[in-house]
Amino acid sequence: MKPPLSPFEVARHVRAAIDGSQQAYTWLYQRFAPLVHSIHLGIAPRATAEDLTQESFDIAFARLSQLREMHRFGPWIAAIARRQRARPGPMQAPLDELHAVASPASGPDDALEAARVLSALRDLPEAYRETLMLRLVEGMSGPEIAALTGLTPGSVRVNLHRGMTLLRAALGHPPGNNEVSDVSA
Amino acid sequence: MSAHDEPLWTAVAHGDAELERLETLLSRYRHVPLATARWTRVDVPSRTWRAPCAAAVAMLCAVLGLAGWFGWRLQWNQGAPWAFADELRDGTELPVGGILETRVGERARLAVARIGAIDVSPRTRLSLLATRSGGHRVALESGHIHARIWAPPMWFAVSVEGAEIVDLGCEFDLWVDRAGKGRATVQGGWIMHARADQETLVPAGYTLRFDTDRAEIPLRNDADAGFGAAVRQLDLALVAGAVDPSAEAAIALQATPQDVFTLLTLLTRHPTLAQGALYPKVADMLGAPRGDGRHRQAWIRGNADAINEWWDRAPRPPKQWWRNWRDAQMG
Repeated sequence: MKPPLSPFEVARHVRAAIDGSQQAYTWLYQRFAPLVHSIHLGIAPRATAEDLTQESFDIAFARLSQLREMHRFGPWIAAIARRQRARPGPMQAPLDELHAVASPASGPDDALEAARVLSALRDLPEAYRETLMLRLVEGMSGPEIAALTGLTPGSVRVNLHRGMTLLRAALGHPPGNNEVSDVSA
Repeated sequence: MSAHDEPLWTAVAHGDAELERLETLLSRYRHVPLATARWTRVDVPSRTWRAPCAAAVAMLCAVLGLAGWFGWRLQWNQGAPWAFADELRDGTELPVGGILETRVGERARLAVARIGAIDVSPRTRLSLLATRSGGHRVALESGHIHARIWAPPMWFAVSVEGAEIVDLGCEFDLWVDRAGKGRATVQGGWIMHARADQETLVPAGYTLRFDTDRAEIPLRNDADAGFGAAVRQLDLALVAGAVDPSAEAAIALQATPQDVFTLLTLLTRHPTLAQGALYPKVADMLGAPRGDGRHRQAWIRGNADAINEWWDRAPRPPKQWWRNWRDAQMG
């Protein structure tokens, strides 16, 4: 596992970004873009989620001086992202995502299955959805998710386990070995 | 398999084929970072709570003609070693990655770049983790240090097991034992005890006890022992998901206006506590309307704006970092 972000490091980079450091902007973007992207992917098609991610960072960096608790950049930009919505327009049909993400190495069955799983993820309650997006899509560990989102490790564990239980049920899969209905922190 | 080895938690452990398949399927949706991204500099309006400090510094520098000196004091080359300033080690330095370990009866004084000093007590083990303008960090493995920092907030931090003690300006004592249990007492300014899942602000005149799992509620240094016990009792009960009406009542009865930060921290850490007697107690201490139902309900829900609104009202001790002349003249 990678060591999770430290609040000190986050605050240091926020401060440097406010002072105009491009390196600090890049650092913040690289560390927190998966979080923002996961939020948008939960409610928007992939291409739109990428656009919304960029817009979220544009908004956040324009307002960075308003962030009083610099070490809480993660929860702050997550709140910005949640308040954003895609501009009104025709929604892309799920089928567009199959064409957008199919890789040469995967067959049409994989793309269809991936779209089905993503759809089931999007139907989960927000707390479970966002945490599972970070885990399953972005490949982050529980401690990394906690450090990024500001959630307690206990809350992350609950979201992961309960979310996976609901996801497996929605997909018609049997429950996993380590999942229980109530998880202690 | 322990809880910490679970594939779902660690993201590297194996043993769940279905989980691995889901990860493989969904990885195609992973965010693709921009190859190049450039943002324009953000102009910084002066923040309300920093404005008085900046004005004081500007006035001081104008009177003494030391504006250039001020900038020099804050500048520090990345990775440059720190100088010792005690008789035993005078002339020597602590490099990044270096460890200072004092023996029985042995003390040390270490310059924190050019922004302050750490007095190190006997039987203390300390290491220098990183140093650069705006970011100086040490690790205290065990023992006691007294830090006086003359710099803007969050320029200096002490790493202890499971947390960081972040200086918000400017003077504090820190004790830690080998099990990671400790306490921090603030003489000037504020510190923040920061964990991934919990942050606790501690102002001057208060002490915070902590261990590797969590921090307690900060208490005024001269708080009554019974009051302190009631605060600890209530905090632990709420963490366990229980209520403790007797402890809550005792706190409401015994708290004085000087305990406002203790009560604010309790209410911030446990927002549902605002349903009880402590909310109107703090409202009276802060001169806030106790009958604002909208604000109270927002607090109970843990609304950050409602909570910040009262923290903004709380009396803050004056930031004294620009007054530490003896540190400014060091070196």
